[in-house]
Amino acid sequence: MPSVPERPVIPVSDVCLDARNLRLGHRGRRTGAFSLACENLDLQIRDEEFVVIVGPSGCGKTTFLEAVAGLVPVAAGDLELAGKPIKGPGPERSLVFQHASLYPWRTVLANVLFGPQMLGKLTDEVRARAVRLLEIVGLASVADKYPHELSGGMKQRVNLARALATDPTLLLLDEPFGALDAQTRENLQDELLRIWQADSVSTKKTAMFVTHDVNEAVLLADRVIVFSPSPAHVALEVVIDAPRPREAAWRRSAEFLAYGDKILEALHQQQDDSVPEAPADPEGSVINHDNGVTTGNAERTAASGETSNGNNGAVGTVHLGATAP
Amino acid sequence: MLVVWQISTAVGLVEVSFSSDPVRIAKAEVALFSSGEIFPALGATGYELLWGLGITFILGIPIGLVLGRSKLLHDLTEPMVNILYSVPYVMFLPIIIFWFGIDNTSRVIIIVWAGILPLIINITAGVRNLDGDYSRVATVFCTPRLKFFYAVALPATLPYILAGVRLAVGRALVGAIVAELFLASQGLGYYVQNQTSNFNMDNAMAGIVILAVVALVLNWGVRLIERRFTHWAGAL
Repeated sequence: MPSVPERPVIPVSDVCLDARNLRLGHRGRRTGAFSLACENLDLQIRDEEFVVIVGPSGCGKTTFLEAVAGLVPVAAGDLELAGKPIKGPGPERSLVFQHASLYPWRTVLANVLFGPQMLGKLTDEVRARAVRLLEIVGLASVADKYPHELSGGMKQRVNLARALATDPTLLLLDEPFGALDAQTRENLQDELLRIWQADSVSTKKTAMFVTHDVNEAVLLADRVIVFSPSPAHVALEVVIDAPRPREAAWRRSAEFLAYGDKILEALHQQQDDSVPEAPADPEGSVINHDNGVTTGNAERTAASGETSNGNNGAVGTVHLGATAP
Repeated sequence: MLVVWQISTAVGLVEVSFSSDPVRIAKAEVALFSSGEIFPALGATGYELLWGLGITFILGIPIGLVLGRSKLLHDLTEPMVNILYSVPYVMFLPIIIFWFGIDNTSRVIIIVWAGILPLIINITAGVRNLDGDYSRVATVFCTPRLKFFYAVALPATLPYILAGVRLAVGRALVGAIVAELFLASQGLGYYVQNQTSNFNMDNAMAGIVILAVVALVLNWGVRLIERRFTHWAGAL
């Protein structure tokens, strides 16, 4: 008999980002009207977690990301970073934009150094770190070139290096590979995995990644959060139990596809109706707010097969084991 | 084209005392420069251009930047800018003479009026069309206002500023000549007019050639600056 479900409790000291009952929107330039993007949004991200947010187009996930970056003000509710409310941008957060938006009058290296320069922290050590970052993303040879001499993929790598140059604790990524061709996208996904999993970069870093692409989400994430259509709230959370370090081969495993299917189903159901009802799964892991079953090993103590009650509609947590029974 | 011109005067197709011809113009140039006759005229025009362009840039660039940045000021001043730009300033010459007299002040005013409006309009358009992503990037990295201005806004707007400068230089030169034609006793424009009314076509044409050279040199100077500072602006 399934146990009574409870939301996994994350110890307070481990919480990096905390959103409670969050309400976000945009004020239109022309009309001045307020259009709601997120409502009743509850979300928590742990330290050193890589969280990916997926959701239908225009659901508000980018708005949420911008709010965390400090670009969009909070309309109601709480949004806290390590316990302190977010009131604007800060040196501990960096954003990798969807379009590289490099400054064309600056060389590649000067672009990477832009963040530290504006924060007044341009020391020799920082310069050395920037050069190393360019090496890590494979662009050491073009450090003195200008953005218009680079390809799209290269510009996005510079974008990534620029975001990492300020050594942020929370790295935000807004569909950074969406505008690239499929091959470059795969390459950069693998590179991001590699960079994230390399010790020098990811110690004490947390990441929040927004995307449409479910496969990208399952590839990169420790946890995938599905947003409902606008105004967005959390509809589903899926913990990806694959061990790290992951490799490109993970893309073609059965568990990968199963995770992907689950998320896609949830997304489609989000599109169809506002209250998702998860189907019973013959493999034994059920997604609904009444009971939940884990198969296989749970690697984290906080993620051991519980599902939780949502505020609006059903919020479920899904686990699939790394090895199917 | 020069060859056709030379031949048609040699053959008698065109009356050479009306139109001059390239050879005679060249000779006149040599004479003008070796006798030093042209230097006061050149100097006078140069002096008023210096003042005129200087004021145009020093006033025009900041005004253009501010009007681009502040929606309020832009909306307030837009009708005025449109009127001043659309109305031919030539119409106001008699009034300017009446108010400021027939001396350098008036000429400089005309030059400024001619040059400053295209400069302002260009810069304003440039600032308003600034890529929104540039400011978002700057915001995310906590850029303070002043640093934003000279590290982001100024370089980003530079192509538009320089395009405006090119326009302004051209228009200012026209303004200088117009001013000289109407109210001067020296300067290249005055010289050309004088020589023409005395039927010295060779000298008049020589003067025009010098004017053309001045215009080309100024333009080339701006293009050099453009290439040096905005080489990146080509493929955006």
